[in-house]
Amino acid sequence: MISKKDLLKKTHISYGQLYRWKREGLIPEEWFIKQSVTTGQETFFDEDLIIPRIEKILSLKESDYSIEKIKNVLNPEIKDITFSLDKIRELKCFDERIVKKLVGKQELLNINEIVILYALSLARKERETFFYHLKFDLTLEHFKDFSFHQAKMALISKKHEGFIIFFDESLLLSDLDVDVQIYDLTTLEQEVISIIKQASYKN
Amino acid sequence: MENLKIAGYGKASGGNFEKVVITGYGSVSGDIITKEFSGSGNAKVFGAIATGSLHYVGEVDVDSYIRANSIDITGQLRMNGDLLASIVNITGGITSQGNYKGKSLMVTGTTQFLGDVSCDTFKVSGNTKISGELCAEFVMIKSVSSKLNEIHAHQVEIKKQSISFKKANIYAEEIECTDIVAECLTCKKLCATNVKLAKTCVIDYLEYSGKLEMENGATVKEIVKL
Repeated sequence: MISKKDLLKKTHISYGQLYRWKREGLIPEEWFIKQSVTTGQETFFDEDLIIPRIEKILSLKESDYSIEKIKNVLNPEIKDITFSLDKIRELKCFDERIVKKLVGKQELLNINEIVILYALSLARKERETFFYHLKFDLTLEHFKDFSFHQAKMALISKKHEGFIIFFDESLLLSDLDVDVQIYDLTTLEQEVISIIKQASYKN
Repeated sequence: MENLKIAGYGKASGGNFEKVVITGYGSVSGDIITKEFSGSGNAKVFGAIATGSLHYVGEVDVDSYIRANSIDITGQLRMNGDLLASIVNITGGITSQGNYKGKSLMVTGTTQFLGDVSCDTFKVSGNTKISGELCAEFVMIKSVSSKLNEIHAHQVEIKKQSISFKKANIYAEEIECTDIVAECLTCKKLCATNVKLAKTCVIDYLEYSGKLEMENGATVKEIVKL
């Protein structure tokens, strides 16, 4: 950890610059960690995150990048990024059997595909037996342009058959024998984005 | 799209409108989405407002948040939620239980936020109370009695409001900025690059790295030059 005072000294930036970048979203608010010290409260930063971030901002500013451009470089739209399978595996929140079944020879995945892998991995963790008799013919390709807005995933099991369906509004069921478990994909998408962001801050 | 017009005394439900005009005393139950919200008198909204512009003479009470491009009010704006507006000009006063985020907040009158304020320009003449963090590029406060928690800015200017003969006291718990020029400031911890203090300032702890100018009579209990 590095104190705010030491950070300014080390990077030769002013309070004004630091807070301007915070307001403009170039430095995430959650990086400002307040801690009690003998003289009251002081702000600290994770040195491994803040120093490279400030160096990056300064170098982009030197190259005449506008604030908007810098913002895009530092926080690219997650939808525009593809992730290598190796990087995804490093996140350690995916079921390897799901990954092997769905990914095939693909090396790069977009966020939609990752959300589906995540949702199915979560479902498998919670309902292992359901996957024993699952009929699932979809491939990740089907989800490349899928919109997760208000989308849900349902695991439906009846007798000895299991189905997974994806839908975006309400699911009406009339057959009481059907056992349904619903996953909110909008929430899971946010969860995955936050996991990826946390991991990318560290890299 | 329809307009919502209340003239005299009236009540209406919220919704999507082209324009909302409330003249007299009008209350609206529910959220309002509109391009223009205007009028004079007293407007009460039991819900949130999302509008392009909000121009009003009189009192505006909002139960929830306001999202707007520009706000121009002569009178009072009271709200329970956050204020998200690019340009805000108020002559009268503003009281919010939430936060403000935008580009410019200029108030002549009372300014009160229970949460944080984040903008490029914060310029107020009048008594100010901000319980959260005030983070701005430029902060100018002219006041007789104000209480602020944390000010984080590039440039800070604090002055006594000239209309009053009373002794002014502008209190801030902590100020961190590049440049500060202050009078009548009482502050626990002031950290800046360049500091200029009038004789009426009382600072517990001052830390600076550039230039320090202090009038005779200014009280600083502890000074640290970095």
